[in-house]
Amino acid sequence: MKIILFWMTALASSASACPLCHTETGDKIRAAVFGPDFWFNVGVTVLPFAIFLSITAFIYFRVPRREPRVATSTRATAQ
Amino acid sequence: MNRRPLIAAGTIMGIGMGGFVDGILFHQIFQIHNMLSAKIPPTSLVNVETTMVWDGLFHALTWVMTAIGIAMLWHAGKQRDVPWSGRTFFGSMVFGWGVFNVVEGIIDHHILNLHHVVERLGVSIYDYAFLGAGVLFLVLGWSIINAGKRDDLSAHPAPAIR
Repeated sequence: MKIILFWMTALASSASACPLCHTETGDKIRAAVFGPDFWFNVGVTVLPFAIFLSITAFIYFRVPRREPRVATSTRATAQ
Repeated sequence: MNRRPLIAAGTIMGIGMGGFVDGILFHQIFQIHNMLSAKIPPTSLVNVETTMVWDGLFHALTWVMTAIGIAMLWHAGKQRDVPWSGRTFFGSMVFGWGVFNVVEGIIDHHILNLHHVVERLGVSIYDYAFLGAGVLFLVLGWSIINAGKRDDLSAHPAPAIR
C-alpha cells in the first residue's frame, strides 16, 4: 500500500509540474517561459549556434586550399 | 585533394558533441548550471522547470548541429577528391569541441552572463578552465588536422571510390 501511495504521489506531482499541464504550476511555468523576455531568451540561446554555423560555413567555403593537387592524379592511378 | 568538406563536417559534429557534454554532464547529471541559471536561479519548482525548457532549446540546437554534421560527413564521403582521413576527421571533431567551449564560454559566461560553469560561485576559476580547455582543444585539434595532411587519396580514398 505504501509503495502504491508513493508512486501515486510521485507521478501526480511530476505530472502536475509539466509546462503543458493545465495546473496552477503549469500555468506559472508557461507564464515564466512566455514572459516579456521570451524573445530575448530565444535570441541569446540561439546566438552561439548562429556563430557555430558561420564558422563551419567559413571552413567549408573560405579556407584556401594549400594541399598539392598532385594527389588527385594519384587517386586516378590507384583506381 | 580537398579536405575542407571533411574538416567542416568534423568541426560541426565536434561542436554538437561538445554541446552534449556540457548539456548532459553539467546541466543534467551534475546540475551545476542551466542555460539561464544566472537569470532564473533554480530556487523553486517553477524556476527549475522554466530553466529546463531553455535547456531543452539548447539541446535541440545542439542536436541540429550534430545532424548537420552527419549530413555533411555523408556528403563528404561521396566526393571523389576528399581523402577519407581518420586523423583529419578526429582532429576536426576535437577542434569543433574547442570552438564550442571558446564561443559558448565567452558569449554565455562572460559577455551575456546567462550562466556560469558553477552557478553558485558566479564567474569563477571554472569558467576560465572551461575557456582554457577550449583553447587546448583548438590547438590539439588543429595539430591533428595538420598531421592528417599526409593522408592522401591513394592511401585513404573516400568511400565513393573504394
